[in-house]
Amino acid sequence: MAYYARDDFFNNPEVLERSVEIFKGKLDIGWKNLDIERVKCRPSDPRRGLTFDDTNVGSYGWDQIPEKIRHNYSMAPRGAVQPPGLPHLGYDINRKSEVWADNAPALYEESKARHWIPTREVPWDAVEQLGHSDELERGLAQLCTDLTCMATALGDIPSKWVWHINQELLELKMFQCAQMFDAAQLADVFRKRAIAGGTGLGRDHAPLGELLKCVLDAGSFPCASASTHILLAGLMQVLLRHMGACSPNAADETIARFGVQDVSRSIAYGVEHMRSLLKERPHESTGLRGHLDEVENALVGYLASPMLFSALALVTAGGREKAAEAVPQVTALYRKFADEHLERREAAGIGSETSPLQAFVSELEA
Amino acid sequence: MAIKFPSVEFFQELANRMQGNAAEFEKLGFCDTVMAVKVDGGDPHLYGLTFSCFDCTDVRELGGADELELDFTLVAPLALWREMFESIQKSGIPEPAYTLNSLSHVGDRMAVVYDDPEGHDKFYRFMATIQAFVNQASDLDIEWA
Repeated sequence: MAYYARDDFFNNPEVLERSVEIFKGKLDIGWKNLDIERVKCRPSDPRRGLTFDDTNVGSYGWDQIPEKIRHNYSMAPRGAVQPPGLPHLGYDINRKSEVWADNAPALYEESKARHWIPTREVPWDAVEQLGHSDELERGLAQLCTDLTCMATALGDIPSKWVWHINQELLELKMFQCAQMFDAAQLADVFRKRAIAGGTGLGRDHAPLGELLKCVLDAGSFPCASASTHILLAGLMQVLLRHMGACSPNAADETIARFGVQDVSRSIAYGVEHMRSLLKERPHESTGLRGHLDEVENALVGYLASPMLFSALALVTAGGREKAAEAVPQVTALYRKFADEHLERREAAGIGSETSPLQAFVSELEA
Repeated sequence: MAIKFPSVEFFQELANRMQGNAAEFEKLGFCDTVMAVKVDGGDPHLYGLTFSCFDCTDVRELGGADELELDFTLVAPLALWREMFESIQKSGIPEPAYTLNSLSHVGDRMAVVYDDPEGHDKFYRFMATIQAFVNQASDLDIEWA
């Protein structure tokens, strides 16, 4: 235990006396008299229910959060009265632009509204009647193994940062909790898909580990956000789209269709976060570009790994026989991903003229 | 009575059916995007579709893509739209090769056109709803242009 409460409550006679008085019925209800803003909030659209947007009013809303939070280091929810003596809870991310994106509250509501249940909604029977070759299944199982690792990282990263973030930024923290749940569910469904197909999980491999370590080890939240939400979630999105497009199986199509919506919310947050951050602190762009280029270097290692490339070729071709002929299609997939990734970087304000990913795909195409 | 494709009436009928199947779309969740469908060919048509909450709230034919603030446009020739809807009509959902994801994935059959990548990503954020929306044509009597 690293923190001891400032009072030894158990051995404090005043605490005991006060408790005895209360038990006798002498209630002190002075706490009810609050000098606090009273507002009325109603759902702007009854079918959506009472959303964060509806409660973005006055001192309860996020519009009034200052760029530098100096007034609340406690767990007090924004807008609550903060009496003297509240302990400092150790938050060390207290600058709004470091984490905030105006779309985070709506993305949180969207995440809840679009929640899906793979356990029941994936037509698992379809996996039992695969109708495709063992090689394709082996390729899909390897892809699902990689996606399981990525989804686990996608959950680990917000969990690494969320408790550092000031409680005033609560809608963002709740979005991060939704990201963690979405990621857990994705890791769960990819794992189950690989096992249910009969060939079992595939192998972990160093190039993927290198990539995920680069993302996990980002030294600041903005760097972690750029590499997680723009790069890693973007990679997962394109791999899922490919899996859904190539597999003739209804289970895979369902996993892909719902999986892309979960990772795409993270992408939307990441792009908006970068835009907000750079509007407030444009000088951060150099560090962010450098970080993303470095993570792209690890990404090149992963995309060039024989295991991923050959698994994608098997999935694309539908089997080993024509796998070599699928190489141009895998290269086209990489081109699509590289271009979409660069577009997102540019939209976020962290484009790159030295992108290792672009250079790598150009080399492949040459 | 057959409904002509492409036409505003066709997409309005899908919107009506979406409203009629509220439980299915409420389960899929909020869908907030403004998209367009472009039917390419000798007589091209562009339709704007506005999705809000669980409904398609506005359907209109557009003279140009700048008439609405579009997140993205799905562009395909008439023959491909026909193949897609005929596939949906076989069993209520498209065959794997005719899902919106499969058709648009590489971009050589159906193009996804957008100005801002955030708009492009809305296609993926709401793909399950948009797929269910086009699946509403499963038992529609369609008169092909």
